[in-house]
Amino acid sequence: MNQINLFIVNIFKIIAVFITLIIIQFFLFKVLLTNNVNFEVSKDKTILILGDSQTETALNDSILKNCINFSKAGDPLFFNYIKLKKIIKNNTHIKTIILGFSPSNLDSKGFYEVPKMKSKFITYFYLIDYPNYIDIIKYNPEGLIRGLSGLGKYFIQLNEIIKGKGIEDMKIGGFRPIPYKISELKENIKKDTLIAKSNPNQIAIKYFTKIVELCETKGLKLIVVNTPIHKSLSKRQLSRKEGYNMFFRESHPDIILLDYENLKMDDIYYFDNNHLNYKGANIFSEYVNVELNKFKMISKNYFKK
Amino acid sequence: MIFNSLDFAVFLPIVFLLYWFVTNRKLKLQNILIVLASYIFYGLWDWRFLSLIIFSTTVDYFVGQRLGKEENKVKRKFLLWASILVNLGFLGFFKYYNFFIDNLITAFSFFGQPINPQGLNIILPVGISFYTFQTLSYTIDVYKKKIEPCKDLLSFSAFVCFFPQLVAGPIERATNLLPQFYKNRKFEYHKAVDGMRQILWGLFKKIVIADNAASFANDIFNNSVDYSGSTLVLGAFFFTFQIYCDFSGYSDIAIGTSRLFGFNLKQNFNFPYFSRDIAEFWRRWHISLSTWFRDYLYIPLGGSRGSIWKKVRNIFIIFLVSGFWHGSNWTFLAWGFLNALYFLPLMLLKINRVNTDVVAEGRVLPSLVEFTNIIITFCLTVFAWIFFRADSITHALLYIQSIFNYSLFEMPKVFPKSVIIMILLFVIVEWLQRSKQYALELNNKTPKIVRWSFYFVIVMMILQFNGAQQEFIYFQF
Repeated sequence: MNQINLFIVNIFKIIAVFITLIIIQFFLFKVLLTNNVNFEVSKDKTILILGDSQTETALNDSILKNCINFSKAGDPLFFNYIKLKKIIKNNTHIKTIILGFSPSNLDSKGFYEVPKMKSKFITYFYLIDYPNYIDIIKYNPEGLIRGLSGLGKYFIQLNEIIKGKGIEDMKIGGFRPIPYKISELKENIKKDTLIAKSNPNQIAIKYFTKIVELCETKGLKLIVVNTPIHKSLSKRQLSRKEGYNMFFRESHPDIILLDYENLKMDDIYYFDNNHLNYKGANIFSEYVNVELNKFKMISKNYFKK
Repeated sequence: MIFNSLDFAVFLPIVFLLYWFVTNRKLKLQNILIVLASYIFYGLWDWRFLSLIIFSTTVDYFVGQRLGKEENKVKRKFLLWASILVNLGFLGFFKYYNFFIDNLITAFSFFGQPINPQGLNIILPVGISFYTFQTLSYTIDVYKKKIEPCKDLLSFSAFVCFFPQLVAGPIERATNLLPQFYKNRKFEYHKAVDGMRQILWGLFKKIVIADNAASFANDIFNNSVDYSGSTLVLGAFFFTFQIYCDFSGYSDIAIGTSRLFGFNLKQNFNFPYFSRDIAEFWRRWHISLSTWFRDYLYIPLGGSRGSIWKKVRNIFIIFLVSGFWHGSNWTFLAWGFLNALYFLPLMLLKINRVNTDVVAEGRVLPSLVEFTNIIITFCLTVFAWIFFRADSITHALLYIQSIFNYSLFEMPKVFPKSVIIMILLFVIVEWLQRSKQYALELNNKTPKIVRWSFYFVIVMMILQFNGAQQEFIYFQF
């Protein structure tokens, strides 16, 4: 074999070794995490909150009765669906799903962003069913490759994983109180560019529909929540909001949509123009508690009616 | 296209295979492939800037040709200045036009005569500072009759746009790189393996060290008013390693890639943070630029000959120009000025060439004096980097002012242990390998299992830490 052929063969050997190691790593952690993570939540938690940073920072589940919040910043609906499937499978006592879904979720491009897919894949890979991989391979293969190569971080937790972990240890979401940061808010208020209406993201629509179907199949009540945003942002995204309203009117008229976007809240309750700070979250959660009571969502017998 | 992207991971093997399997029989075909690949590589940033590089190549090629034939001194000088004006004209326009306009407005306003000239919305072409200096060195060398003018436009084009070092150096001299395009290249297994190792080490520096240090350095510098003195020190420390690993990582990948194609580029970094004085630091940092300024600016100005004032003048000129080369901001000039101040005492006391060997050669640990000198030099460098990284002189001064107060002794608010540990491990590896060209240079005497373990750990770390992908800092210069 001449020198260059030897070089290429050796390079292929090295690549093959690393691909094999990555595949072994993937299956090793998938099996370990699937079997050793306990996804059960307390029996008194009958309402599951999912969504992205807006519900993550706005809905305090220590105030909201019977609720448990597993929202996580930057989670596209794809990952909310994956999470929902796993949690309800292990927790049949959950009867209501509150899903954070704002106008920005409708046209969010998060699923297509490589760094975001990488970090989300590392967090949720063991929950993804094989058929759902098709969408990742189709729309974000680079994110998938980078995600696969980043699974080595679980080696650091290997001992704990073998011993067994609870859902709270997996960092798949939770209420996250954030401080009041006036400089950030002021900076955002200064922006006066209008947010144009863009085409709805097909992946977001697909997985929103899947969430709706899953809830119907499992007999769960789905409530969609749009959390408060600062009036400066609300003014800027009027046309985007129009598209959002149209989506619900035309595609999902039966869904309960609690739209609090224009709920009047003072500046001191905001972290930035689309996130409440911890003070705002507490007040808003108290308010939602009352609203949910109005809907009699807390009643155990509600679904039997 | 950047080196740490999937695009490049696809591009490089394709060019490599075409180069050694399709065009390998003819030198001309190989050079055509290099030029085409380089134009694709560069054009993927912005195809419009290809015209600049082609124009610059054509001008310098024909100027070189004419210089080769012309004996009349006045005409020769005219040709040289024509080339300098074209090259520096482009550089000046794209890089410094808005800076001069802004400062002109400020100056006139200061004297109560406000003016309103229009700034332009100019995008800086990637790598213009690098290839401009490379082509300039060719013209100057031909003018000085150090080299023969190139007779083959294809080889000359390949020399100007050679993709591994086109956008961020090393700035190659025609005397070293150009003749390599005239000769048949033969594939050498050990050279290629060494190239791959150097690429791997460059990727490690960039992805694992620089990009991780960058996320903290950016946060601390961008929000410096919110942080304590100790955190700001840590921010400067992170930037110190970010810029070194970012830039030297790029150079390693460039040199390693070139070796895959049978080329030898010059070493650009030689473990600069182990320098015992600032003069040694400048012999080890961005060597291709430092030697460029030395040969084409400092020595023609008189260098270290002549009166003390002339020596001082020359030192300040070279450091200020070097600072200004990095960008159109007063912060770069301040950085250059500070380095001139550091360097000056060494030159005046004639101790600037004391440390020319490898520190603590043949020993594992340095002596106490060596260690102290390394630490002092490192601290001076870190301090100067604050100016380099800051958005403005005011920002730099406020940053420094915020360091020196009681909060300097508080526990830093930002303290990413994993990044700090990685940097310390990196420093240890670099220290142990400091007599080599780059830290991963291993010879065949090293047992295979050790070599492979090294590769495995490094690849896994690269895979683990990829994602926080940041552009190479020196692309903006």
